Amino acid sequence: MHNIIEVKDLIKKYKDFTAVDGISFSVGRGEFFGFVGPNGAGKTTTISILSTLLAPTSGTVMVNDFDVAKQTNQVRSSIGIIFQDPALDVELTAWENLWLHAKLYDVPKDKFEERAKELLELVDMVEWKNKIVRSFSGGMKRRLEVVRGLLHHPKVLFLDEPTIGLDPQTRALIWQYLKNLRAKEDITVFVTTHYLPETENCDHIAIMDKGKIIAYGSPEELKTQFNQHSMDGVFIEVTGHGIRDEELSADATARTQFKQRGGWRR
Amino acid sequence: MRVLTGFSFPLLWLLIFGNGISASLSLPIPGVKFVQFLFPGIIAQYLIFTGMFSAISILQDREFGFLKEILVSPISRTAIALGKILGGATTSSLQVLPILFLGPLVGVNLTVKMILLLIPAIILLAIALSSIGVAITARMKSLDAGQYIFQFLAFPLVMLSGAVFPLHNLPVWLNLLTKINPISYAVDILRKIVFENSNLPPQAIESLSPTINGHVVAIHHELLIVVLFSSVMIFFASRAFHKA
Repeated sequence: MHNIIEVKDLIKKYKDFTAVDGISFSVGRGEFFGFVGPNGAGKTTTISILSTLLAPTSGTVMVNDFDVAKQTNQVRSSIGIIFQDPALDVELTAWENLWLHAKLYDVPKDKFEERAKELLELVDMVEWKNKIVRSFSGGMKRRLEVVRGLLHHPKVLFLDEPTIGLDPQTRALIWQYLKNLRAKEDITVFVTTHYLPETENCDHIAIMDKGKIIAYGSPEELKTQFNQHSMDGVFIEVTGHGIRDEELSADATARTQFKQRGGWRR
Repeated sequence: MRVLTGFSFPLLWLLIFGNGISASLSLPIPGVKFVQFLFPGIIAQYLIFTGMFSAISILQDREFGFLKEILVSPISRTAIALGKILGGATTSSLQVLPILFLGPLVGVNLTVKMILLLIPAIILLAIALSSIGVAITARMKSLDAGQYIFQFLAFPLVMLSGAVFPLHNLPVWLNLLTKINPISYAVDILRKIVFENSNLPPQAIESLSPTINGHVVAIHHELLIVVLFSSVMIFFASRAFHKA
């Protein structure tokens, strides 16, 4: 059986700044895949390419056996995504947001209602379904987005820092939902996070820094390889302490320059 | 409240600006007061602003992140562009239609035929203008940038369109600019409909409409220009969503 995600020699350049520098990795069907790295490492850029929002400069990316560059719509139908920043229409109710999503993904009405109810139950949001999203807390918006991302039965669910800015209780809840989900459905979960202990839940982890993947393995393998007790330890061992600031700021400068030059055109 | 403030714009232009200018200036056309000339122009002007500004919603969607949800979904990019354009055109048409009832206040009699012709014309122009807005905003990143661009674009388009002054006896450079402005022909569609179907002298069209090589451009040619122009804009808008 093929891997659900195959990335080969992926490069993404913005003029003279290379955000993703020739990475290759694969994710098996049904895996929990953790994608970590310092700010500016290229994680979000990689997710954007995998989800068809950005075109790669070179390299091939296959998702669910479809090429992201050529079979864009098939890839889009195969994935669900929860972005780093909430992407809900806050003027609408929870249910209306879900309904719109069902329209966009061509989910039939009866299937939609059944699925939406089931998923709202999974994240304990049933009583909020007719409330306007504007009044929701960050955690509630996230849970609603999880529901929306799963509505059309995607093969892969991408979560770009799903737990950022949430309190520890909600973070634990989100992970609990993901585990429950995995027990119930045949789905691959691709998640980026800054909270390293969360990656203990993953089957495999790739650590990315400065556009390259610098470590890969299961949590146990990585801890053994780098002789550490925790994933935090592995992360610091791999990405370094002291030089971090300096090099991060070099990256940050490049990104700022790009923003200034690129201005309003992607 | 929004309806009320929205309505104050055409009211101010017509009743105060229009009557004010009429009092001291007269058009070189017998039987037409400036304010009557201005009436279809104000409809057009309001269409330009509301139609183009309706596209700002794309930038709001971008700012709030919602645009990504749309862009990552498996619907065609043309459908995204058309959805935005038709949505904007609907709001803008609805905002503009009440202005028609100001007609009698400035001495333009409304007739059923005129209203029946104006409604589809307004909808067509709303689509054209909203498609300009979408073609531009689909390429922009921030809300602030959007507002500057519209200042830069919407005002010149209005000024050079014959919405606020007749396009005759203009200096050569100004004349040229008004002729390459597609909005001129859009404005003139409304003016022709109003003048031909009310108490105003239809002969006045001769001296108000844009001319090419000395001939008045016929209304079906103007319609063609507007339709072609909108198609080009819709094409650019869907392309922009392809890349964004």
